Amino acid sequence: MVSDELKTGDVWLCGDVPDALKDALQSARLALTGSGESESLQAMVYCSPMSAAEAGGQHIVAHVAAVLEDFAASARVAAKTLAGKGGGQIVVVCDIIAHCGRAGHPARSAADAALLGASKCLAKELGRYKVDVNVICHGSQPELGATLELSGAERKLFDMMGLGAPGTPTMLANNIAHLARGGHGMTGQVVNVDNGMVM
Amino acid sequence: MLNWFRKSRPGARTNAVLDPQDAALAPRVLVLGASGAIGYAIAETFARQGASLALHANRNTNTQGKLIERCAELGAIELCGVQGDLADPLRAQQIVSEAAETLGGLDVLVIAVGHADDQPLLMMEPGAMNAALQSNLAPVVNACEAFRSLRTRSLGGAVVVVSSITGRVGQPMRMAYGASKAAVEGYIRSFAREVAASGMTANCVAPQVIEGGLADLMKARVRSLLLSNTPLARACEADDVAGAALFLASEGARYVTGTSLNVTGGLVTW
Repeated sequence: MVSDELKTGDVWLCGDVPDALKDALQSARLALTGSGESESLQAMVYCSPMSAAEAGGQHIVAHVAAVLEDFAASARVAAKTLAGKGGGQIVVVCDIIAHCGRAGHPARSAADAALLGASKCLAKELGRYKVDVNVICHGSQPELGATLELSGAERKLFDMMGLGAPGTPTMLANNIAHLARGGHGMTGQVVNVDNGMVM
Repeated sequence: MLNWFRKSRPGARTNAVLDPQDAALAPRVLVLGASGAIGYAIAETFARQGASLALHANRNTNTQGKLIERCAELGAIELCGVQGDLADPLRAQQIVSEAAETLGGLDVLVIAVGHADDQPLLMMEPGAMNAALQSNLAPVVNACEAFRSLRTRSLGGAVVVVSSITGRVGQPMRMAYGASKAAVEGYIRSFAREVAASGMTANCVAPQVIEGGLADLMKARVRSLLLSNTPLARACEADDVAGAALFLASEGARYVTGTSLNVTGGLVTW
């Protein structure tokens, strides 16, 4: 849900936002705008839970429902406000397994894939209000509690190519800040910030 | 005639053309949502291939009865009907078990259930997302988990789920539907990885709106625009989806898993 505390700035942070990401995002905004009070940033950043306990069976549906209901409530507030300002950005942050699935993680895979689908629908629905909706899919983010454990075989494969390294909050924040700033002509897009794990 | 994915049964020939008269080799297929337009066409298509079929309906038992007669005419080896609400995990488990008991096992699970509502974000009521998930995701999760439990000691098998292109490329006013169908694809990608060691495949078919289905609910102007943007220059029909489902259940698709096949007449080429 949109927190009143976070609504006062020019970027609303919604969902399950780790503190380390909040700090990194503030730094990224400063780097982009030169100050912490830019009028150019009018965005909502929604983070899917990064370290949710994995659910099975019917609990999968309950987990997806909880994430989607929360996102819809946040997006409704954001869309109304941003449309009233003449446009803005919605940036959704979720796990790369939304794209590729993962054995043992059907709930997160379904929930984050649902956010991809919801974001693309919203991008088409809010286009007339000049509100862009884009998604960032992150790979393993140990500092944020999102650890996508690679198997030994996967580790060897990515090591051979020099790819698949864990990300940092700063990398993620830089990409969020870019999308949140606007002026990029992107909407309905999915950016993988995963050091080449999914191409 | 396509070869079938038949590793689980004694005497089954994985690389031979199926003899439609040989009931022992007939693939045993459960079609969930068979009373809907897409499910109906899928059941007909599998019947033409000489499958043994369990046909599910939730409430529309009249259509289910007609479909059973139709499939018998088309060459289905064995036929039975199962009924119930797949959003209920216990009932879903019972439906899969009943079908398996009647047909002597199950080789293929086809899921063609779903429901779409037009709801703009700003008018969306709390609970709308959950309602969409109960219609579109819960039946898939419940049926797949039941199918997985049923086949713990078997090799091979195939799951084919009808999702939607809306979940992949979005559609205005359909966020709940698009999100729930995207969730289905996300779940199937993980499910496919989990069951792969047994040789089971799991895939989605993602059609655009079809004649006799959601297309009939669209405004004429929107429908016309959709058609004029479709390179194959005709509307999508339920049989188009059925053909893709048949392929994904066949021996020819034994190395295809965790993916989604667009059935859009070229409307979506990415």
